[in-house]
Amino acid sequence: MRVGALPLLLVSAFTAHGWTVCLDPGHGGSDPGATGTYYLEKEANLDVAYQALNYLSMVPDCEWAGMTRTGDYTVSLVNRVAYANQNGFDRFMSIHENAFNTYVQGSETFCYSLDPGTPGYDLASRVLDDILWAHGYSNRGVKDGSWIYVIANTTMPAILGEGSFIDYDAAWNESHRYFTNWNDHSGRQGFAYARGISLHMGSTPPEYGSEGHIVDNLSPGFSVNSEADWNTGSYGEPWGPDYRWSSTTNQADWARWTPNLPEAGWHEVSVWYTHGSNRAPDAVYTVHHQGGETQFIVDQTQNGGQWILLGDFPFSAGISGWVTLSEAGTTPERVVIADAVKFEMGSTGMDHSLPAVFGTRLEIAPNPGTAFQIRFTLPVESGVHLAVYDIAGRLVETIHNGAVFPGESLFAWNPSGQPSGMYLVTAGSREFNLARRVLLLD
Amino acid sequence: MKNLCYAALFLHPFPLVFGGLLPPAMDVAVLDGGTLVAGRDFLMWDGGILRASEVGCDRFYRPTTSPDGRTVAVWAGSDHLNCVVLVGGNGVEIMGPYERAGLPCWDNQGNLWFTAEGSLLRNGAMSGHSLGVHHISVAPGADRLVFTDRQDRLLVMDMASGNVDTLSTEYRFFGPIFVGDDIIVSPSLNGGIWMFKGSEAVYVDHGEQPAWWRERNSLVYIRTTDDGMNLTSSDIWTWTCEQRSRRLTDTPYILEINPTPAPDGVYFVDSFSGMLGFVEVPR
Repeated sequence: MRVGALPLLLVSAFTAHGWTVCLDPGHGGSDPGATGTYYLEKEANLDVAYQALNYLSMVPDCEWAGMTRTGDYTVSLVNRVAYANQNGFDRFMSIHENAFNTYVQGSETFCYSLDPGTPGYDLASRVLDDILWAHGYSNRGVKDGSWIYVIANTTMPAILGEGSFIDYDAAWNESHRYFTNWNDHSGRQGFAYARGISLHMGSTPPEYGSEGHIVDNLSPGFSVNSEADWNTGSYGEPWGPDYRWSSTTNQADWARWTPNLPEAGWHEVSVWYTHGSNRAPDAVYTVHHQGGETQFIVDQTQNGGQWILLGDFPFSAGISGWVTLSEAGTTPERVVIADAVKFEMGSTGMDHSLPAVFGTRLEIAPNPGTAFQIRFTLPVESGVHLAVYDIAGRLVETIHNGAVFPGESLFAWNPSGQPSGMYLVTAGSREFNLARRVLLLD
Repeated sequence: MKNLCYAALFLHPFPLVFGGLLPPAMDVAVLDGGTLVAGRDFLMWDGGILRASEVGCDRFYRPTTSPDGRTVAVWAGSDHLNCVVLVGGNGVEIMGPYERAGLPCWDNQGNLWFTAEGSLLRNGAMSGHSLGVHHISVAPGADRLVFTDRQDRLLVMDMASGNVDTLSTEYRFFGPIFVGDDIIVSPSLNGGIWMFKGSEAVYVDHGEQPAWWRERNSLVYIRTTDDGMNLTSSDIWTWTCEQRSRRLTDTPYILEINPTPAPDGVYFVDSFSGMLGFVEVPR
């Protein structure tokens, strides 16, 4: 054998470039994977993958996060591997949930070699650490995955994660946690994959909650009035692989995005659509929030392919808020595009990520009323911003902005010149955020 | 299956890597490795071993033979750099390193094409076209090039003008190949295998890993089933416009993958054992 001129420059120079990862939501289509009482593994895997995708979009070093499966259709193992290899991804992460006998719970990851010096092992370890943070289930370890097709046949370091046992039904029902996205169940697991690979690749990881909560037309929280009236398209730059569209002719169709928000608080609501000359110039979005409803007219003939901010609104935790897109009142003979809506912790200047301190109370009386007494109880001294907002999220009045001593404090809001209706009284500090609705009478 | 002969021809002590094994010569192959398909060692013409570490990489993938059969180009990569390694009777030539290089392919004139650093290279020199994709396939006449983008659209570039036309956005395509001057075959994630003759699209079959069988003017591909973790069945099929689909193997205990057509039959790897096999197909 003659090896010609093995160049010294080959030992050189790692220069930083972005990295790519192929996310592989397991099963799909005719293959449901494991079965839970309320949810199938294929559904949970896709939810988690989309959450990971959202978080990865916040990692500047992540040049491309591709997905082998973007909806509920069958993709063979051979094609999953071929897709990753032909596109030259740097890493491959297959996302699965486990099942056994309904009594076992825990998290585990697989890689090709258990040699701690291999990149696959490092990735599997980091992702497992973060899944354990996400769910708090028992640690079943990093395991030999050389027998798993997608690990053995990909050209890049690859892992497979089994986030939890979806059939578990002993102390709680695990599939119900996925079905309802309890405690942001899928979001936390998706975050784990994104954080794990970011740290593995030497990148700054995303922060939990930073991705906002995106409800796409493929997400469980998306619904339409009639499947028959809403077509699927992919022209332009949709969020995810496609969007739904409906002709405005009958002026009756609507689409709804309902997030399952893990925390109460102010959220920025943004919408995503693809623009085109046949779109409605006056699509009607309505945000249903804690303070009521706020309507927006959006021109879908332009500015598509990006997040369009509607505003900052208060939401309760859970599924009590939503956004609708309606054809009613729009220009006829056009189409409206229903793609994605993002709910992101808002920019009201308060730190929403901190939990309320035990013993803190905010009580308002009378309610409804024409003037209000605000009784505020604190366990420790704290700097507090006490303010009133209208239902559109606009600041109406700052009642207090400064130190509040431990114990009970009394404040008053005497509205003058404010129209009757719903308002939100908020008390925020570094340690907590509290909010109460009040109804101002004439 | 009548008139078909399955023969195990090769059993390597290490996991045999496929990626474009080079039958019928059998003396150049990617061997051993971090995974089943991306090997750390490359078997040379003279029986020697070229290790990926010798070229600053940690894995070889998908060797491809020049039209005259005298040179093999193989992709080599690591997290930090990629190169294209040419192996021939005269030894080894290394193109690179690059931060990113794509998989190499040949045109009918024996020119080697691949992408690197966001550009299209011909025989290692800049072609003047920008292209940031990993997989390309050049038409036999080297006048066009097919690839997919990050939206999985099937795109064709005219080499002279650099203009890119969208051939199809119907399915999630990947890994398209030119099998004639005006014929493109592409698998998809969600729509099976398609053949494009100009702008005419013909559905081939549901299946995977299509390869062009030049001697038989037909496609070879596999049809698999799996349980989400591993293959549960795989067999080799062939397809022509006239005869449509025809099954070549029916082997419940052999999981044929990576079919590589040869004049007298089809080479493959058994996914379960890593063993190389050959199915003879009488004309």
